[in-house]
Amino acid sequence: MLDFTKEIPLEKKKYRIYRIAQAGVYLGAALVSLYLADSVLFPSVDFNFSFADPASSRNGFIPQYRDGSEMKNGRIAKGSQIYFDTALLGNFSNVEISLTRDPNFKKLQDVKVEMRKSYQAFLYPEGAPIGFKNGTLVKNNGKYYIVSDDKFRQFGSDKIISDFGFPKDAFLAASDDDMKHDGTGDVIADSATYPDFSIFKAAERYYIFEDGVLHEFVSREAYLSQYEENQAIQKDESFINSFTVSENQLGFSDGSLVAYGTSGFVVSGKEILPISNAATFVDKGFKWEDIKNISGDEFSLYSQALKHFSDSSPHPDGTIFLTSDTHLWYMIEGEKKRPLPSDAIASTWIKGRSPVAVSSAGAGVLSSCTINEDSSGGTSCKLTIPPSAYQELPGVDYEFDIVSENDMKLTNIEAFFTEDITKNNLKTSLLGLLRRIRSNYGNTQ
Amino acid sequence: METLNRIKNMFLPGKWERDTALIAYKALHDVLFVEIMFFAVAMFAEGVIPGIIISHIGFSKIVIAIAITMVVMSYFANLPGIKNLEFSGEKKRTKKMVLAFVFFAAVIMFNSQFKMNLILNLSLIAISLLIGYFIFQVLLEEEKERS
Repeated sequence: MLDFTKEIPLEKKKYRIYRIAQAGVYLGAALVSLYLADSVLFPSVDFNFSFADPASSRNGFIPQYRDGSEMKNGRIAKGSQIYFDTALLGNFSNVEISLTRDPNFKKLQDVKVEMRKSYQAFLYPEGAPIGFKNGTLVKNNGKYYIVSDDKFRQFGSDKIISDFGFPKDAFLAASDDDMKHDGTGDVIADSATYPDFSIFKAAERYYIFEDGVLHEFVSREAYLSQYEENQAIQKDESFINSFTVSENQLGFSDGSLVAYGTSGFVVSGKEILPISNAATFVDKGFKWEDIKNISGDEFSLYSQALKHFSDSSPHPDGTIFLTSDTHLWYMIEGEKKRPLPSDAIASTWIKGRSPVAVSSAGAGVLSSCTINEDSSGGTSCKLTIPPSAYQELPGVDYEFDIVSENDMKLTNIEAFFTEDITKNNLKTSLLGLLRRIRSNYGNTQ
Repeated sequence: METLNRIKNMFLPGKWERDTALIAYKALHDVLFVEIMFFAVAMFAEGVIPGIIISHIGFSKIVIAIAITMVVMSYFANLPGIKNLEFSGEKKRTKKMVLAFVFFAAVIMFNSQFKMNLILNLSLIAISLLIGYFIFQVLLEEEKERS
């Protein structure tokens, strides 16, 4: 056994005491090592929100009312539903939700907590279904239409179609059900004026016609992120010059993934959101092959958002989700999850990119518990996360809904995630560490 | 206040029995060894997987613990019963320790410069160790002159 001070003599009895003390030191070290190993291999994560300091950067989430109304001083009216999201990765199998109430307020009674897991944007409330994208050419029961201002405008005859120059092979076959999701506009009776959202191509440039003005796409790639190549009517430059061309160019479709230099971005309206890192890109369900490298001209069309797109950011407008278990399409718009009712309709919105895979099971309640201070005395309750949820369900967000049968005034909300010590979790943790080592040493020159 | 005084009294030189002080002094060597090992392993782990230790325990805590142990050790080393002891075989152990330290420092430096050109990496390590050696020589010289 180790003795760093052999030169210091001790009589036999005292030396035994030293050995016991030494064993205590090493036992303590072993216990500290075990504690650290447990923290590293089976981590716990704590998220907090303080109503006393709602703007603090230390808050891990921001609770909101389901109906969108403003939350004041932690006072929550009975029956009102509040929710919050926590983004994290790992095999967390338990989460304890603790509510701290104002001591001057009555005890917490029948406070129900429900948990769901998916991507934050996929947990948005469902909005109205969306029909075909404006500009789409559709055929149904032998009739030909263009979707213009969210309405089907039927072409009066085949001659009108050929006079306009619309290629017949660009018309998408739609079922009767598909035709229910857009309104019906006026029949196009002659070929005097092009309908809104007609698309033209001249000298390798693409234009879309709207309200008598042509809007040019910034590039072919930007055009192809929104429409098919064969949808554009081939014209010469003199035709384009006969119209007013808007100064504002059109870019990539919302939700597109672009790369400029070494940075990746998600397109959201007039902004592009810088993606925090490669891990976030993967965590958010994006595919590397969907990234389009863009030029300086294309990049300058957008303003760069100040806030990074991180694991805790919801997917922006234009993101398209596809449920792997029920094959349903959804598009995010204005904090709503709007269904795309069929594959045909979805195909007009998702050009050149993959949908983000989700599971409809994750949007349902996975676990629930009730806080009842009178019976249990505590102001917290424990939710069990089923292994199927943390292992199989896509998404990094755990969303919690809290609703109380009585008025309550809270000062703090805490969500404390823990992992069970299991062989499977150990394996996952070790693989995770191995992945981190690889990513740390991977990009060597 | 009373507790503080009791602790203060505990560390008065006359309060320690020689054998008890020797046991404490010897055990403190083990404590220091454990702390240094923790520090070395933590440094290495942080180099390989950044954030793995620091997200659970800060380096400052380990450094403070090492500093406190060393202060307490120096207190015991200056107690009359220990101060007069003559040590043997110290030189051999110091050499071994220096070799271990040099090896560890080289590994840590190599790891931190892993993405650098290999020749440049090795050259920087050699230069750093050489500078360390000369500083050590200067300090040793001063020590000799003083004694």
